[in-house]
Amino acid sequence: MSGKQFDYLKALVVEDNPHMRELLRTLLNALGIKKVAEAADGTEGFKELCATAPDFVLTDLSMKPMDGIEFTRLVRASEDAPNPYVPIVMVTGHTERNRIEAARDAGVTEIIAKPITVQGLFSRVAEIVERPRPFVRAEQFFGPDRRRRIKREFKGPWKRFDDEVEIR
Amino acid sequence: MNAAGQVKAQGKVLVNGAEMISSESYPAVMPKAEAAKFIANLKSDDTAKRSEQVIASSRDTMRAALEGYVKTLGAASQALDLDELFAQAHEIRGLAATAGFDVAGKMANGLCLYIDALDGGAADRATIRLHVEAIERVVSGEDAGAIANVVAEELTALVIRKLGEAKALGLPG
Repeated sequence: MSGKQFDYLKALVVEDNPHMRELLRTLLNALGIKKVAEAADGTEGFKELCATAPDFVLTDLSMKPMDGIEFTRLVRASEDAPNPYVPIVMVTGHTERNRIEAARDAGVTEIIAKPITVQGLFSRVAEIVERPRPFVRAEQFFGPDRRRRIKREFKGPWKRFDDEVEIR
Repeated sequence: MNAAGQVKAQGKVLVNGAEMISSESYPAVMPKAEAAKFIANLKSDDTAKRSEQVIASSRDTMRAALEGYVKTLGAASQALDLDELFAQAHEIRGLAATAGFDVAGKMANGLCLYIDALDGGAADRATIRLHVEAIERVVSGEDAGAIANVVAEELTALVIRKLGEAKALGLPG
């Protein structure tokens, strides 16, 4: 496949369906990313993540034994994860609100609904490269800032009048 | 990075005890200069054309795989093998839309949710059979468009009703 090559980039695809995995890998190859590690579920995915330290991850949601939500939690929380800030793009056929919220709360960076389209996949990849999101570490959460809407009148890191802000 | 090789962010802002970590303080996917080249390539017509070809050429493989899953789903339905039914419906819901059969994916997703909600309880054979037959008709091209969508909606309503009945009787699911 011709086109520009980005040899330094490494991606990880975690997807249980071999045909979908192949499609995602081939699309990443078309983008010039040749180093694409693959795994069939979250457990295998985490091993690959530790072994290859990818620059970003594409993961399915429904997989067994470990699904994409548990995998994301593990990447964000484990001391063994080489980079807990690694962008994680979830590819899913589930568009039910509760599943999307669970993915977001686990620390997913972007979500793409199936069917996979070139525009859908590439726009998410462009987003993680061009506009990396700030992270939040709270008692119950570690992941990309879940607030997407930016209010024009918003002037600082705090959102409420009585928020306590401390800069270290 | 710390001794364990884990990346630690520099620079912290605390809001109500939550630590805000700016994107500049953790590793970027790639350096800025490289990112510009990467994005230009990603947005080029050449890359778009090549990638559309990848999707188009995968469609036949996807369709063949989907037909295989539907066949196995039919056999599992005959045997009322719930584990196998779930496994095949799961493959179908993941692949159907990309293979051009969105509605079969919705039906398969409904079947997965139904089997999952049973949680080991007894399955209603008719509910399973109706789902499997509907998926078979969509993938074979017998049902399409508005008809297939109406069937998918009816199947969703059926699953909700059956699970409601089971709950009212105090059965699992």
